Amino acid sequence: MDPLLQITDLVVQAAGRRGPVNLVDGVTLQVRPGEIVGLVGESGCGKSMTASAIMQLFPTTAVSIAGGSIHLRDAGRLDAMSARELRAVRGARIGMIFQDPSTYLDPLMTIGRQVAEGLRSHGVAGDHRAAVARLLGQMGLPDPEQLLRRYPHELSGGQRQRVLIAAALALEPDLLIADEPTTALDVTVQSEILALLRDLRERMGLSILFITHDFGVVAEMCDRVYVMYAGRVAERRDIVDVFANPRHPYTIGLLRGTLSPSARPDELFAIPGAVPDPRSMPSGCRFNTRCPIAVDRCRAEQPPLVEVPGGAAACWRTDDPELATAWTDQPVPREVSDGA
Amino acid sequence: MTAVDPVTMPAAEAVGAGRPNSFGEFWYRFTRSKAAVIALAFVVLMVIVAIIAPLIQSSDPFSGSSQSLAPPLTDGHLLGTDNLGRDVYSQLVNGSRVSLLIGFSVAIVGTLIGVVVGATAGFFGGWVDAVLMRISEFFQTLPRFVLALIIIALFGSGLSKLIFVLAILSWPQTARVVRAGFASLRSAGFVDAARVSGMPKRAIIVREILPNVLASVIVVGSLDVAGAILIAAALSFFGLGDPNLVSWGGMLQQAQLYLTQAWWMAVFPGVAIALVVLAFNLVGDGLNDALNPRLRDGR
Amino acid sequence: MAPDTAAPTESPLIAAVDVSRTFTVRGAAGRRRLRAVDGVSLAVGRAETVAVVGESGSGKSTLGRMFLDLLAPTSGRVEFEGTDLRAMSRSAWRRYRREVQVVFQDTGSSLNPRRSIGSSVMLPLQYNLGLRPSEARRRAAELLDMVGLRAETFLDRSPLQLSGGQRQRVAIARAMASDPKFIVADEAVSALDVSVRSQVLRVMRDLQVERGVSFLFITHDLGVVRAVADRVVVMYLGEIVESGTADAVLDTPAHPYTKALLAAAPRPDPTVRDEQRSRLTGEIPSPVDPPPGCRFHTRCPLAQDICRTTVPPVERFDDGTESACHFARHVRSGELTMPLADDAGEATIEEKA
Repeated sequence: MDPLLQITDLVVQAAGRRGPVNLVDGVTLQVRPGEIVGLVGESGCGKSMTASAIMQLFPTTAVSIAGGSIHLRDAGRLDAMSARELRAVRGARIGMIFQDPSTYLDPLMTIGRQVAEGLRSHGVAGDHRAAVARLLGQMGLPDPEQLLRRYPHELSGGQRQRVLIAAALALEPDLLIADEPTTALDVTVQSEILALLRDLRERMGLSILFITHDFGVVAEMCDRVYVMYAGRVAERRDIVDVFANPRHPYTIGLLRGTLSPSARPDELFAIPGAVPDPRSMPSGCRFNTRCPIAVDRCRAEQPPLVEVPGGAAACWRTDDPELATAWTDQPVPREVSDGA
Repeated sequence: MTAVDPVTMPAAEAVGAGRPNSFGEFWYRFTRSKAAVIALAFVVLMVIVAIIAPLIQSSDPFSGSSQSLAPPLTDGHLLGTDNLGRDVYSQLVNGSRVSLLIGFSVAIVGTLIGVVVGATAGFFGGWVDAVLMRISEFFQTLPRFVLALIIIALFGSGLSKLIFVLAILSWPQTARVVRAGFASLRSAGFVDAARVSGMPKRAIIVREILPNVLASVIVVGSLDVAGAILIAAALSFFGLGDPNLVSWGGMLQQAQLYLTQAWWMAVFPGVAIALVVLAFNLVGDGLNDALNPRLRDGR
Repeated sequence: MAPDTAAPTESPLIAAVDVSRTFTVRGAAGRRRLRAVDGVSLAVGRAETVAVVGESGSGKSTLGRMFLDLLAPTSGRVEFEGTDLRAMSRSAWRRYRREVQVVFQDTGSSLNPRRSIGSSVMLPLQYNLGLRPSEARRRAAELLDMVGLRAETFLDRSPLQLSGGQRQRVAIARAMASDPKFIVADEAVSALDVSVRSQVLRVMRDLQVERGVSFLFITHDLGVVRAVADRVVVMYLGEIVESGTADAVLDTPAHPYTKALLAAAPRPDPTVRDEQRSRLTGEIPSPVDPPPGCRFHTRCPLAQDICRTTVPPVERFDDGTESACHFARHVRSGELTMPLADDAGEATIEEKA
């Protein structure tokens, strides 16, 4: 089946003081209908930029798409659309929710009006109150009729996020882009919101592109995951495979350093060093400066994504048996290099 | 609880930038606005003119001559003469002294009062804040012009009285800005850290919080200068200025009766006032953009 | 009543004794009293790490601020080495100021943006220790080296040029400046990425091993608790609901709220995700108007009539765990199972043979 969303070789560039800088440098990913796909990585890896590129909602005009394509099924190339065409797509085909619910709700407008806005601007006629109330109820909000007249400040963080999800899904889009939607919420509330999103996928056949830095959330939500590093995809795998048998040293390191309440780690593991500055990326594989098993080829040539069971990994040594023990016996230095 | 690294613009700015050259950074940001740079140059030019006024005037601005109402480019009178034969150019150049003196004095005095009041109100909050803000509101609601008229009518005109009146009317604006800054920074992490580091409250106000608020203060201050110049000119226009001093407003007052005969008597001082006020406003805008960096378009 | 945590056998380094803190809030209904912290007792010994876990409205940050004397308790007292902070002589209080320090969350305003890194680290050296500027600068350089930031590079940098992990290292250097015995770490690693988080936790752990520093880790992240804490205290709406050693509380929780937190925490293991886990419903009530009886009863899937009317007593277990629940023993032993997410039924106590 054709993917719902296909991003191919995407390059997102920022105009810098000393020349342009690629924040996303050749990312290919796809979301199939009914899938929850995770886009995971640390700060600066480009995951949020990739998501922003889909609907061209960049934070400043200094950032733009400089290469590649973004294709939405039955709509065409999103990156080539005019502002008017994009407005038609936003809301109707693609919905988006973000990290901090408070900043995305107008404090001076009632909940009912804000959720109805999307309906109105897309020309849906009639009294929206009933539709909005029903929608809010579907999102698990109690007493939806009452809620229509309330203002955002009267709601809790979790309730606000549910309202935003309702607004994002008001026109029943096929795809929901969720950029760290639960990071700012309490953990018990997060659990509810994640359950709601999974439920919506079941009920509505909604596809979700889920951006996060939390591997626990990834494990709970996603069918497949793309691990990003320094503007590129390091690994894309099916969910069970990536946790059971990660095939990129960065993924292995991240998983090893992930803390869980289930068990105390033997030692506090941390990948040494830090993400490189986008203006001065290392040559070859971008992870080579921090990789414990880097060899000359890694410093010379950027590895392509090669097929591995359940997906692909961008590592010259992904088939090498040494990969599995890459991080053991690695002393973690106290000192941090300039870039850390 | 949020893992926020806003966009990656700061990351691009970070690392490898070397020692922080805070003035260099500020200057770079300021110079990105051509208007602000031109305005600043104009202000500097005006200040120089005001300082060396007696040296560049072509004749004594007070002494009339037989050549009254001479148009510009008359021999010896670049910008013409007024009804008493006084050289317009010389008056213009001398008048700048009064305007700039008033502008800067009012801004400085008003800023000082405003900072003290605003810092106290913002840092301590509670009833101190309430009382001080009611007082500042009182001063804000007084109509500036009318009050100036009244005070001068009662106590006579004079430069120092004028400065006094304008200063007590302009401090509330600064106070509000400073108060807002203090109120928000009072609960900032670094302020708590300073307390835990053993810094006494006084030192925290002056050395931790105030430098972070100064940027806004400077911006308001530059706008204060513009406002003061404008009002002072208006007061002189109404004849309430100091008659012993040459001022642009005074020139305008003289020019009223001769508008059709000698346009140069009104136009030159009028344009001068407009340009200076505009210049200070643009500098204020430029300072605001330079001192309050946000993610911006185009780098 | 809140449980008194098992104090260490020797006299504690710092202790909150039955502290409460109330705020007046001006709301739509007029002035209300918000009891952010209500009758909490917590002691921390030398070279130990105690975690305080809770969600919004739990009062954990307010408690932390009282330990730091940034806020005074409205009732109860905080004692440092046995002396009430409010009753200290000037010199004793100055010593307290040196010995008790803080690392805040990296919010972008935990370091003064107008000061260089070196200057921020020098502040406690100059004020708490009274060092001259030249001496303070030298010492600040040493501290930066100690946390893994090369002094020549970082001393004169602006915080805006640093990454989150680097800023937190600076915050630790600043906290260590006066060689403290106790550091309050308030969500110190919450805003950091996975690998950076571990790096910063390592720095803190090394400080404990090398210098015997005690930590109060305020966090919402149970993974961090498991990794670093000796003891843990769980707070809900201003009260301690459970306390004990980290392993005991995380392995065999004795309070429904603790169980719910554990159930809600996402596990980095996709194979367990289809396991039914219990979930709480409803919102955290506002601390202005806490529910009567057991404060947790409005969200507790196991709530019975007694929970709605009577404040639970503290149940003490042999291993030192304490829990404020009428059914603590049943919850801990597993006899009382939490209803699963899709269950509508009431909880039942299964009698074990």
